Amino acid sequence: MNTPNFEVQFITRLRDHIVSKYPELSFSVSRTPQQPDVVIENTRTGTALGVEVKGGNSANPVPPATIAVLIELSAAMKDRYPHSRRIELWVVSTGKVLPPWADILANEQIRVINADSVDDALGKLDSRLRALAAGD
Amino acid sequence: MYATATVHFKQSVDENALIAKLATPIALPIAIGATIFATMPTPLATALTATAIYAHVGPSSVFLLMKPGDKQLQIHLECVLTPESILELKHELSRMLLNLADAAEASSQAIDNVEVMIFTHDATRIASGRYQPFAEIIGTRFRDTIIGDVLLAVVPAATSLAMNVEPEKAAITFGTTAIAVLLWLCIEARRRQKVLVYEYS
Repeated sequence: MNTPNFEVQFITRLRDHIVSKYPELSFSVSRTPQQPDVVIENTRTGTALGVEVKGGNSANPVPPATIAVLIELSAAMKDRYPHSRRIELWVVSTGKVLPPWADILANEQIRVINADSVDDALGKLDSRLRALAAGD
Repeated sequence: MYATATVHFKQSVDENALIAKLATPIALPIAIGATIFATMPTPLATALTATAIYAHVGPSSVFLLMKPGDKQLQIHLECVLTPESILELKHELSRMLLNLADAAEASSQAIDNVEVMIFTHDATRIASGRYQPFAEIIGTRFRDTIIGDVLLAVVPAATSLAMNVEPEKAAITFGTTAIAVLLWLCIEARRRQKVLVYEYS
């Protein structure tokens, strides 16, 4: 599957999904590389969910340099918010994250969603969004 | 700025046979130390050292080779002299992929396709490209130049007829010119199979 516009399609659909289903959550798109593509927050609880989207051909595994950047992104996101707040980074990727890199991301508590399509990614992220809206 | 390339092979790749045809490797820690991974968290550099199967440091670039799948090789390439030059990176990538394709050919391993991506240091993809399959090159080339190709075959045949040469001779002229054009298309497509085509940049 070749998805050159996966990032744009997913972020647009995610925004619409949150606006229609979870109005209590705030949605913002990052304009700086030091932040994930999207930050979703429950302003009542202070929990923030960063979503970084990595599109591309699903036959190509995620390169190690991207893994390194994700780790840096997670650290930058944690630095940016007060330590009292719960911060999570989720990565939505069309390419596979191979075992050595998946283990490193898991150790950094970065969650990875491997998706075939925009609908698939939204479906997999929805349970976390529901929990976030409920205050978890 | 760095580039990654995923090389898909038709069969399981024998990396040792392939590496034997490439330039003398450099010790992995030295090569990794010259890349963006030098400043990355230790577990990542450790995993990379365990995963990479070949490294080479050239006068202006550093190149790591990994084997993420049975039929796949993955390349990480950086230009060390001009790290922010996309032109230099594209040039090095083409040159290095040609070396790899030659090594694959020399070790009797067929490359199915190659996909490349160029990223900024914050992992933003700024260009992506690939090797075009033979049939696609032929199709595109045929569509682009069909009028010229037809004229090339028809004009000599029509001229032969107009000059009162026998229809058989005109048909032979048309046939041989058509075959020549077809051969020309195939030779050109074969050559262009090893040219990276960027889809957006």
